[in-house]
This record gives sequence, structure tokens and C-alpha cells, in this order.
Amino acid sequence: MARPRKIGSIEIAQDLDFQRRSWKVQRIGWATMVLICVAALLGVCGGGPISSAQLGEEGSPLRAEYDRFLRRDAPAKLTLYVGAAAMRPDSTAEVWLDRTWLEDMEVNSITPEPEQTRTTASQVIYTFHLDPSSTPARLTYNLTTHSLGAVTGRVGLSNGPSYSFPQFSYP
Amino acid sequence: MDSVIRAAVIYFVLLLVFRLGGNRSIAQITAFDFILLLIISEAIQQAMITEDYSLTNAFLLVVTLVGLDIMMSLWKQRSERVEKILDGVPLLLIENGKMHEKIMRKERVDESDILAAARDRQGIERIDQIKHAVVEASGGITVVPKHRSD
Repeated sequence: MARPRKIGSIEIAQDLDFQRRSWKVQRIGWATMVLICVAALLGVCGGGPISSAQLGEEGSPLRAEYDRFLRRDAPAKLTLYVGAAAMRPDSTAEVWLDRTWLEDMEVNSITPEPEQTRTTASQVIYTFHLDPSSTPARLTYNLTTHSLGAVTGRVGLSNGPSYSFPQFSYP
Repeated sequence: MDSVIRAAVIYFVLLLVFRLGGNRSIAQITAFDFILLLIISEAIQQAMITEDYSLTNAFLLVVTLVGLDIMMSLWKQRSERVEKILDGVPLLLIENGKMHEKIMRKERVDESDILAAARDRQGIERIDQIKHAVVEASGGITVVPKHRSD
């Protein structure tokens, strides 16, 4: 225990100077906790207005919605919108994702299911059969992140634009 | 490697957060605080274990946590400053019959808390029977009654 002093008739290890500093630190700590909560609500820690981002303009053959901030071992989502211009005559579209990025993700589901998946050294290519009358077609990848720190994902169409999107994964 | 780091980080973060909450948040067990402790342990559990349900992981976590506890207690013993920072110090709320209201407010303790502690330990009925009241580092309140001669 800390060394006791005599205050009046009682021996007690009180230290008012330390206590006053403690209270100050405590108040600062509380303010920090509130700031953390506010930042989290805004999406700085993943999921929220600051975190969601879009790539590609309206009308582009490929648009993507992704989260700038992810959390490790937590669900993540990547939504792609494929326009009519990207579709081939047989109503399929080929979308590729960066292989290194995908290797650190667990793919829980892809809606709709791709017809075919093939890989190259740096890409995983998904072939989707889409309905030409309802475009842009929405493709949803439900993922679980297993990466940590800054990562860069890449997505593109075999016959169209490609984008890279930087993300940060919190532990 | 992961497990040891996780356990250590969680230990220190919890230590920090509870120290910021003040010692009283651990000491008083009202229904509200009980619920808080329960929920916190549930919230932490998943982050500590993640998907590794092996015996090895469990043992690593336990060994790390107990080891950290031992290390901190040794460090506290050697350094008075560290002990004050980690444990806190006792604080006089009532000194020789005089109430330190500012200190009570800062410690978020009111008269009824002191009276409850006084009844619990000393069978005291009124606040004027109290000579000293101290909020201990543990968060509990101890009371020294006035003797008949005081």
C-alpha cells in the first residue's frame, strides 16, 4: 500500500494532489470515450456514413459500393452494379476481383450465384448470367474480413472499367 | 502468438476503462452494476476466443492473464507511484465530523451511501455519530464512529 500519513487523529494513505490529478485524467478519459462512441456512430470504426463509399458514376457499366473501414473477423459487404453495356450477347457479364485481396476474405455468399468461377495469377473471375431487362444488375458479395490493417481491393469488368478501393481493417 | 496479444490487450484496456470509471463502479453491486459486469464479460469473451476453441488457446489465455496479474502486482509492490496509479488511494469524505462535500461530489458519493456503509459496518444511526468516513481504494466506504468521549 502507499505510505500512510497522519491527518488529525487518523493514519491514512491519502494523497489529495494525486487525487486531483486523477480526477482530471478521469474527466479527460470520459471525454475520450464519448468521442470514440461518436466516431463509431459516424462510421469511423466501420459501418456508418463515413465508412460507406461508392465508386463509378451513374450510368457507368460498373459501380461499386464498399466500406472504407472494416473490422477483422466481422462481416463486410461489397455491392456491384453491372450496367447493360457490360453484358455480352449471351446475357452474361464477367466480373473480376483482386486475388490477393480476396484471399484474406471469406466469401460467405454471392447473390446471385455466379455461373462459373475461374482464376488467373492475380484475379478471380466470376461469370454471372444476368437479366438484360433489369439493369443495372446488383451483385452482392457477403464477406468476412480476415485481413488486418490497410488493404487495397480491386474490382473490374473483363470488358469494362476497373477500380481499386483502399480499406482499413481494425483488429 | 495471437492469443497472448489478445489477452494482454484486453487486460490493459479493461484495466484502463475501469480505472476511468472510478473505483466505486466495481465496489457497489446494485442490479445496474451487476448487469454491466455480466454484459462486459460476454462482450469480451468472443474477442478473446475468436474461432479458436482449442485447449491450447484456452490455456494460453489463462496463463497470459494470470501472468499479467502477477507481473502487475510485483510492479505495484516495487513502485508506490505505479500502485497509486493502478489501485488509487483512500480518500477522506468526512474528517473529524466535517463533511468534504466537494470531494464527495467528485467521487460521486452522497450522504446516503455513507449512511448505508455506516449502518452496515458499525450500526450507526445518524451522520453526526460518524467521526471519519473514507472511500477506500477498493471503492468501498469505511466509517470510524465517534466515541462517547469525542
